[in-house]
Amino acid sequence: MKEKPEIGQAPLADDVGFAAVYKGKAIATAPSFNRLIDKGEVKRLIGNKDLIIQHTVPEGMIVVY
Amino acid sequence: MSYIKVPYPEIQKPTIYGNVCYPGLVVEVWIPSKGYQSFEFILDSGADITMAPRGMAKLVGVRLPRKADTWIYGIKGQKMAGYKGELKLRINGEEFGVKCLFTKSDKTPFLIGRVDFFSLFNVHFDNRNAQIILERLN
Repeated sequence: MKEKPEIGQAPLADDVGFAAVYKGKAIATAPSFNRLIDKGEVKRLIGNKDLIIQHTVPEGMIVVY
Repeated sequence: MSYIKVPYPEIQKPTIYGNVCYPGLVVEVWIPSKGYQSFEFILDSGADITMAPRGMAKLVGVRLPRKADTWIYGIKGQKMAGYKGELKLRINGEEFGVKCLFTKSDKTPFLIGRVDFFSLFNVHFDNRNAQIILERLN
């Protein structure tokens, strides 16, 4: 299990990435988009109306795009 | 007048300053041979243009050239190569196209920026009701 960063520490870079959510449940995560869509289950489900692909950041991280 | 109301996917996002609303927008992207696929974009009124990671170009059948079309600057002043493209999108059955930049990075979030999108829609961030209201203009 990944260690949660303490307050004041930078969040783990590995926690930023992408997730595939199928019927409301995360079925796969990856640090990059390519690696996510290369995962077998995600590849198989692309085009399925119940699949949503999203970018993820750790809880509490401030995001400015 | 046609309105589309899209609830925020996540009502509140916790930060060190408390909770903030999260203007995520689930948008379907046309993928040849697969059909429409849903992606959660961030509707980013501060972004000039829609952006997506390079893997999205491959998915929608766009071959990126070797030479960058432009450079994108981030908050730290760092620059990243950008490649011109287009995405065919659908929200609540409304189909439209937007110009976009595919980035060299494969870690870029999905952002909807102002080019095309803000000409097609008036955008209302209805934070009280945790939804985005889009008014189709043309």
